Amino acid sequence: VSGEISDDVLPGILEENIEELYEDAPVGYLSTAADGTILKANRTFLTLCGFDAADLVGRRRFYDLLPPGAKIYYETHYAPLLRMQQDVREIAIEVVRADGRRVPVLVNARLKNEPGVPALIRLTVSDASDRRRYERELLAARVEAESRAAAASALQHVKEGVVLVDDDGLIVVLNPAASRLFGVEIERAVGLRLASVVPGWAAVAPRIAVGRHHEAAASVVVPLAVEADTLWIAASAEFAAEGIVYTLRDVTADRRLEEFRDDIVSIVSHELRTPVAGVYGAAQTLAAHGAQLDQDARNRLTEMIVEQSGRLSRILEEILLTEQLDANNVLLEQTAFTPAEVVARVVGVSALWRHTRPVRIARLEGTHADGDPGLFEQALVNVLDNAMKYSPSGGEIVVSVVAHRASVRVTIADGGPGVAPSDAERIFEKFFRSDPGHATGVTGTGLGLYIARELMRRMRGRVGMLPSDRGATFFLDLPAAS
Amino acid sequence: MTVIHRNNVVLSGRVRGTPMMFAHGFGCDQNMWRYVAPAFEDDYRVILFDHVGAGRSDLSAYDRARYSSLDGYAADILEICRELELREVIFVGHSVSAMMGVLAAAEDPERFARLVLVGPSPRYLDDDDYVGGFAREDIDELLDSLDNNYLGWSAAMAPAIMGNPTRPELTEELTNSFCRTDPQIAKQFARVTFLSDNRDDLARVSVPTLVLQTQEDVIAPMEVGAYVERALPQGQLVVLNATGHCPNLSAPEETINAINTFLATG
Repeated sequence: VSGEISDDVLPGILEENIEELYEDAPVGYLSTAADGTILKANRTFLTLCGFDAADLVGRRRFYDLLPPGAKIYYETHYAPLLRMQQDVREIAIEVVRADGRRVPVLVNARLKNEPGVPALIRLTVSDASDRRRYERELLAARVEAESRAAAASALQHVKEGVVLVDDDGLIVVLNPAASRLFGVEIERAVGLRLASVVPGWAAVAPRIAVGRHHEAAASVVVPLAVEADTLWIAASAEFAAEGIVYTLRDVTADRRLEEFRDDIVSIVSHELRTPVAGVYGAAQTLAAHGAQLDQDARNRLTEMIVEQSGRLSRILEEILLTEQLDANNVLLEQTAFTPAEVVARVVGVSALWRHTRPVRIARLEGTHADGDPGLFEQALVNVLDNAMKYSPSGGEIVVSVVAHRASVRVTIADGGPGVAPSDAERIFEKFFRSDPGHATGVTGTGLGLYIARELMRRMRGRVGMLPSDRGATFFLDLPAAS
Repeated sequence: MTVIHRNNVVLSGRVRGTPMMFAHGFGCDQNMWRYVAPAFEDDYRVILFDHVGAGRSDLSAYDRARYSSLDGYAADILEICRELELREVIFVGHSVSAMMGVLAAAEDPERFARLVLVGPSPRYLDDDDYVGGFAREDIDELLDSLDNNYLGWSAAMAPAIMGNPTRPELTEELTNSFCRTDPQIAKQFARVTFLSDNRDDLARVSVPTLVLQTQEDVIAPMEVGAYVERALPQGQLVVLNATGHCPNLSAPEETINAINTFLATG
């Protein structure tokens, strides 16, 4: 017994009519001549393609049933393969039915080439509509996956920070630019709230308008507190299917440039105006009334011109030097020298400066240091100048040179108002002024200490402030000569 | 010998014979010449090769920019000629390789003695009053066919396809192995082939050229063969009894005879 069919019935069932087996096989059969002319086709094939046998046999070749593009495929793949291998398997192709519709089919073919007899090609053709639909879905899925992968890859290389936050406010995507901007690792951020990852986010988020899908709102520039710093960020946001996409651009550098421009304008309007007016006024008075003035008055005016034009020249030189430092264009000649000698000379000369405060040298140790003596002198003069500016009239300035660990340290202590601890670092920044409104009457470009810091840095030295009970105490360190 | 490896160059025939170089067309590989090339081995130095991206060529040498036009393939042909120091080459190109031969011969006429173009077409698309035989949509349909037939292709097979001549059984196991390659390369090659237009290059060929035309070649119809003959300064059209695009496979004897007749004259 085979399954449910008893052995005595089985032969009767299996002894099929060969003709019927051929005609109604679950696959289309075709026999063609070597040039493809159809010689015989079974009923399954005729049903599949919708032609009558009389339309095909002896009248059409197999490839006449193919659409034009598939004909190229047939001629460049199927036909050569059949000749080279004698059989081809699983060729996916379309057949154009009698009614013009196309049916996807799978073709297997074998070339029967025996000596003395014309060659014959046998083909099986099976309907592959469902399979083709499935394959198309696979192909579409692959294309989709590739385009997603490409998009993800593109996001890695976008200069702007991009953050996708889901409807619950949790970070879904954070690209490397955003990671750098916020100073947080991607792995640590994903799944958390932006506000818990970026300290200042909660404060700025309400200021960023969220645009509708494909319609980002105008970007706003906001100060954002991140780990160590405050950045200026141009931010825009847009609703997406998955949540909200934030696009963030660091505009801190642009902002600084703007501030620089403002500072330059401020220097020109405040610092240059007074000396220029002084020179102009004195020169004009001399020109118009020189003859009527007595010698003393003429001398005072001439002195004023000399003094104010000297101030102008110093301001311009500071600006020029700052520009050179920023462009890294300052020539350094590193050598072993004795800072104490430079200090003694500068202090000696400073006695000649106008409006100077008394300078006392408390200690001078002749240790050698490595550095550029010229640049060191410039830094020292700037710090000393600053001390004098802020010292009250008659207040003493005390200077020392001592060996300090592996350095030679110059300290400059003044009796001025001192510097607020919060400003101890910032006073060395470019254009920093303790009184932005010029209220105290102390003039200056805000470049002197910045230049000192940059020069010392280039000599592998340091300038800074020491904690002090009264007044301010600056130090200049240079590495001791090896 | 990177060019030799890159293009899977295979040499046979008489060592000091006149070089005869066979170039396969779009679809398969140098096996396309298996019934024709041996007939010339007694008298000629026979050079077979695979275009980069086909057969057992070095797939890693495939460079989309270089092969974005037929010029890249023509440059490969010239590089093989230079590497092997071939002169007076008889170049036999099938299908799209016929045009590559035209470009190579126009570029460096000294290298070539004669060209044999089997089923050439300088332009497959119809264009004003020029009949190439195809419309743009037909080419998209071909690209679809390629997509549908490469689903079974996997990168894991690439080493087997590129192959190791000492282990031929590896490639024999693969279905339809003579015409398999990376699907992306195949599609790009199809685009480059069927969207090319080299009609103006035909006039640049200065050597005697045989145009072999079959009956009912859907890819290079009779009108195209006639056009090629007219456009070539020294073209000679021979119409074969064979049908279809590959007489080198379907009618090797007739193809061999036609080439021999051409080589024997003038």
